[in-house]
Amino acid sequence: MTRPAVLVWQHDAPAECLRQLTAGLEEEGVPFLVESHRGAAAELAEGAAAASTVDIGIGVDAHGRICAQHAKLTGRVPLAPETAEHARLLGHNAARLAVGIPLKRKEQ
Amino acid sequence: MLVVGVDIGNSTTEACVAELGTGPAVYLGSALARTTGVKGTTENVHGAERAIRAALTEAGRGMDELATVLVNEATPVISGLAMETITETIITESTMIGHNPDTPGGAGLGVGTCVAFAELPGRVAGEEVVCVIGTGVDFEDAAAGINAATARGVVVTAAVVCADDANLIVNRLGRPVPVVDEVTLIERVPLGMRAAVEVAEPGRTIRTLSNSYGIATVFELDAERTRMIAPVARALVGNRSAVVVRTPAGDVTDRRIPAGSLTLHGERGRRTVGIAEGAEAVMATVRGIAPVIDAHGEPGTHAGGMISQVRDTMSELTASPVDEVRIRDVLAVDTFVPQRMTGGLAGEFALENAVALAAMVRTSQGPMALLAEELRRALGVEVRVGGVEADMAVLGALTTPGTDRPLAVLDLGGGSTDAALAAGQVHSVHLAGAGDLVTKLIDAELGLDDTELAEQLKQHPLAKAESFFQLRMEDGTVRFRDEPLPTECFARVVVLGEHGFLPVPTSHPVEKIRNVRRSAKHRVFVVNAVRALERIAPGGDLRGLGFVVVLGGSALDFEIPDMIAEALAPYGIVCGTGNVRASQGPRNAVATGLVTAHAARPAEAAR
Repeated sequence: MTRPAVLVWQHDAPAECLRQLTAGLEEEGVPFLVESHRGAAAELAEGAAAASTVDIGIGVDAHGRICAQHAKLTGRVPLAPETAEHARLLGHNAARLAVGIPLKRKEQ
Repeated sequence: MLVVGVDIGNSTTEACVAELGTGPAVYLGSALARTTGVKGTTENVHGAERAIRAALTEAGRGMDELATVLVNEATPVISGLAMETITETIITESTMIGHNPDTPGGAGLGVGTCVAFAELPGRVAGEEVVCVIGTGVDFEDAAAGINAATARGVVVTAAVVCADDANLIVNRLGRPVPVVDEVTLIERVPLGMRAAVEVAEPGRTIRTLSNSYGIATVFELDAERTRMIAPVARALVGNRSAVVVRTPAGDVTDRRIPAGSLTLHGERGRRTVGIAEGAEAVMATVRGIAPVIDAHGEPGTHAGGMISQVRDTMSELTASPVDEVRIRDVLAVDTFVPQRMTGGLAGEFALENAVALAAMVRTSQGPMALLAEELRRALGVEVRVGGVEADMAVLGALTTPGTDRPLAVLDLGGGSTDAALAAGQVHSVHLAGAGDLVTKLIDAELGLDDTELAEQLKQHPLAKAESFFQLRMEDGTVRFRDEPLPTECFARVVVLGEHGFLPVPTSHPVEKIRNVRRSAKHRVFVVNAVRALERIAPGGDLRGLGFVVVLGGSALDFEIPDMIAEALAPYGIVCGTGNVRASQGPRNAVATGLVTAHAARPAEAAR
């Protein structure tokens, strides 16, 4: 039985982008796993969400595009499509989705 | 003969169309429109016309068939609201950080001298240090720097960080220490001063820095200095994390702000009361001096400014000299308001005592003749000023099934709460404090700074968005959604507003927000309902009232009428929301009354 974790599926993601993203998850205290897969951010996010034990997945692609997705919302527009500069904020918010607390806003 | 009764109220203008003949009046249609301009002025014509036309449309009749328009004697009511904060928490020399960030790191108490991160390499072994990490320092570098210093023998007991990085840093330290983060004004942390940093385990609160003696122990304070530090401890109660920096020259002080005084004039003299004494003291003075003939606030205070403005507006409206305008009623309500603490390092808020004041002025002079003439010109129909509003309200209220004289009417409006008793003569009273004050209290106590949201929160129930598809209502039941909620609503308390869900931007749970809403309604409307009825009841005894009918816009509220009925239950009176003509609810009472009164005039009806 795998432990609860947010899954991050990345495809040749820029290192700094991934570091900031996982920093957001770590700061919120939510466990996560990073795995390498192929594809664009949106599809990576869908796959990760489906495989995640907490129903939250994040996809990061080589262009630095990041998507968060919830397993129960697949097939619809991804939750939070972002660019690399907001990687940290997205990490925080993906964690907050898993935990069930209100999301951080961009200005903060 | 076709007539229309028009009631011009402070916020709403209501109309009802009726056919008068030999038998009882036949009501054909009703409508309402927003009142245009201040009630009792010629600007009201637009709103009145709109309401009349809408009522005629519902009745299926034309303006050309209308014989008479009956208008109430709309006397202008000007009301004002002011909030006086009577305490203020000031931090001087930045001695405290109490903003309680979401994700502090480590646990325990760390005491040391504040040292900037860049200066860490210069410290020697054995020194006890609280590391202050400013903007632009990456969390990996911060952890590495602290570990390096520790390896050299420097005792880093805690850290204070600008960014939201506490856990990231603690997770990379060789030995975890308490770390407080999200300190926005990090550059104001006084370096070189002794500081204590405390973080509690998740789900717990701090024990040392929220205790005056705890702070005294850490900083070896004598009794006198402990007394001065007590407000700091008080401000930190309930926090999961806190920082206290010992600065020699300054401390947190809370002081009572001079909120000024209120002077109330009665028939036999006048009394002055300091607003800082609280609402109870103010209302006791109002009761003692009743009936209030006039009121003045101290110049330069919010209350003073508000009362002057109310007076000026009325003076302008009725073209009478300022000193002839009389404030007839004042309502004071105690409240708590979250205010930003001056000198806080991280945007801290403290709950400060405040007093909300409502004042009201009413006059019997209004340009009614002018208004009637304007309306006649706009419609091409005869317009008659029908009668005193209170009398008409009672006549309309009596069309509620199950009512009989003696009947008292309680009109819950936006700017004033009015009551009238029909027992032979009609005796009426008008009090300050109504719907608008409730909204202001909700807005202030939740720190919303958003009147529209406060208004929606007042009128509609709450729910907590437990997931994207699930809302738990305030009564505990669950509602499911087909479409996911927007992300701004996720995990938030939302108002089920008329145009969709409105997230409430506070971290309070549903119960707390619900209590604020209900308490605001209680402190204004239940208090004023009892006050108003006491004034009109024979001998001031509510038991003498037979039937009480609640009317007005605020009578449509989902909680207020029940609260009032519950408060009046011990007096053995029948109290409930009106149902004018068994179909209009608490609306249209005065308009209906105008028609009823007109139909009862034998000579007129024949014309």
